[in-house]
Amino acid sequence: MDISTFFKILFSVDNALLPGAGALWLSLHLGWAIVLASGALWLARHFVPRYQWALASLVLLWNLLPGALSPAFWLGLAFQSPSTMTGIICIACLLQSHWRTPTGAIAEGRSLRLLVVPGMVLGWVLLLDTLAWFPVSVYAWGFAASAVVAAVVVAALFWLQQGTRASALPLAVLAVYVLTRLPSGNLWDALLDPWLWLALQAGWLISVARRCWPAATRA
Amino acid sequence: MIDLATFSFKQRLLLAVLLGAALAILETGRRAAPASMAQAMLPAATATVSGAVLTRVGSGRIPMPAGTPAAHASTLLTMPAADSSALMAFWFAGTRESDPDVQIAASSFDRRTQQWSAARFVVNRQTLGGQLGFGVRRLGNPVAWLDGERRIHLFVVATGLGGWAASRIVHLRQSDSAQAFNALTFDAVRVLPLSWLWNTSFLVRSAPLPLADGGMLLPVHFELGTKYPVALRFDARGELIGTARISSRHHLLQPTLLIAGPSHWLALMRDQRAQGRVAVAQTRDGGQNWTDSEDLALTNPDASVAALTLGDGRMLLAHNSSPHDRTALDLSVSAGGRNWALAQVLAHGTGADEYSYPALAWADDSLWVSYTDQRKAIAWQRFSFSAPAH
Repeated sequence: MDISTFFKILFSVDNALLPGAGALWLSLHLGWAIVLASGALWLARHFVPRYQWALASLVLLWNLLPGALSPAFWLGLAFQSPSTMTGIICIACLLQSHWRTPTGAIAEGRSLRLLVVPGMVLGWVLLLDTLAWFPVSVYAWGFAASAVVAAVVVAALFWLQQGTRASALPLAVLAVYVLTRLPSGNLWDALLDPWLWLALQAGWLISVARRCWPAATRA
Repeated sequence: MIDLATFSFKQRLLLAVLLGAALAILETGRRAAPASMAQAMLPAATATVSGAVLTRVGSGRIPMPAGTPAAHASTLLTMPAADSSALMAFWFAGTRESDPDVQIAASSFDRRTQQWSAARFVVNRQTLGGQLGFGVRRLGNPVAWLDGERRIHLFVVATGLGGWAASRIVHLRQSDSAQAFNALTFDAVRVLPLSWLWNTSFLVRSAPLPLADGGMLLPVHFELGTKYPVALRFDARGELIGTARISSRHHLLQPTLLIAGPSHWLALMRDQRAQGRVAVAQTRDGGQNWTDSEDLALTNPDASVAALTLGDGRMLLAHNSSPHDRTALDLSVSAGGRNWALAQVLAHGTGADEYSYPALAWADDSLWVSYTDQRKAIAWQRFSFSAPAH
């Protein structure tokens, strides 16, 4: 590929690359399996570890059942697939006991908090774009290679600057997206889904409330 | 196990550069070269009809699947000359619109017998849900397209959690191009990814505009709260390669595309507002940029329209012409898409009569029209061009 073709491909908005039907099926079921298994693990956090992992494994397998037997069948009806970012955050949560070293916890938390505001802003931009508030379509740019390359540059700089495990999350999401095109072939669907966006906003509002009214929110 | 937190800045810099370069090369290397500016493909067979007038040569109702009382939203697909069928019709049918038993029905017009075949269901929501891996609550408008390998593609409205505003567009492809009509089956390709908000509220209604590269442009619209039209570009294999908004207005839906020149196209749209007109947008660069134009003088009672450009450049538009209801369905003709004159009355009724959701196609040197007849059946009419009387 010569350099001019490279740049033509890079900046074209008419060469989307979408995942196949099999990959989409797997993404839907595996995505919800990971999300629900991490939720089950959190709910069972007071159990002994053996029971925690047994429950998480059961939930994971339940989601991989075919058809209407799987919760993913009904969650997909309403919400399609979770984003790759949500999936990777849930995997990180599943492995958090391995992650949480006493010395690194504060830095990891700070890196994650730095992602909250950009995530919230991106969600608002995409929501307003869905309602066609902008003269150009931001979502359509998510099909272009230029959007992916720009996101890779930003994610790499973030990891370089922070140096924590948490700061490598966006880069990991982008690597999975480039290799698999999941969950939809659009970059924005890989980086953020509406549930994650709502969770970011809820977390941000709680943190603001704690700062503004520390006494009232202590309980 | 590698611990990313222990990497020095220099190690991170080296890894970030290598990983970034690898991802950029992978991202661009797997993509096809950008598509050239889209050029429309005119139906060549109509070149001989210049100056002729429309004459109705056939009409009736397309047979319904047995025991099915309701039908709506037909679409017509012209079949290749070598096929035993001149064209195929697809529509949704069931107990009533939005009922869980609604399926996509199909019938074909046989060239030898000059009859429509018995209708059969070709898509249902249970099978579709099984293929997609998630549930489908309701099925709606279908639109059909034939690719270069003679495989039929169906684009079908399928709802998630909610009514039509929670719709998605499912792309299906004929399982095997050699199938006869009686064995016709479809496999789900994917739900088209069109919106970040759980991919909701995009619907399809009108026929695609065929492109010279073998691909096509599929007009769709968004309708959650605000309503705006979008054009989706597909390559010759039927893969979605890009999207573009057709209008900046927020009350237009169900665009239908007309060819005014190779890369000059019009989009005629249903207007949601009371006292609405047929709205217009146009592109002069093959769909890369669209601009809104002045509405047509034709009244639009918030109803779907269908348009077709013939080989000689004349444009045809099937539209409801009554101001507040769908009792009158007409066919109008235009030379440039701005001024329209009545060419044929398709159906006129009274009271609660409804003739709506027309579709147009050119097949076997004839113009074919199908439309919803009282929400109970799909009616069809066939027109030939004959020399004007002197």
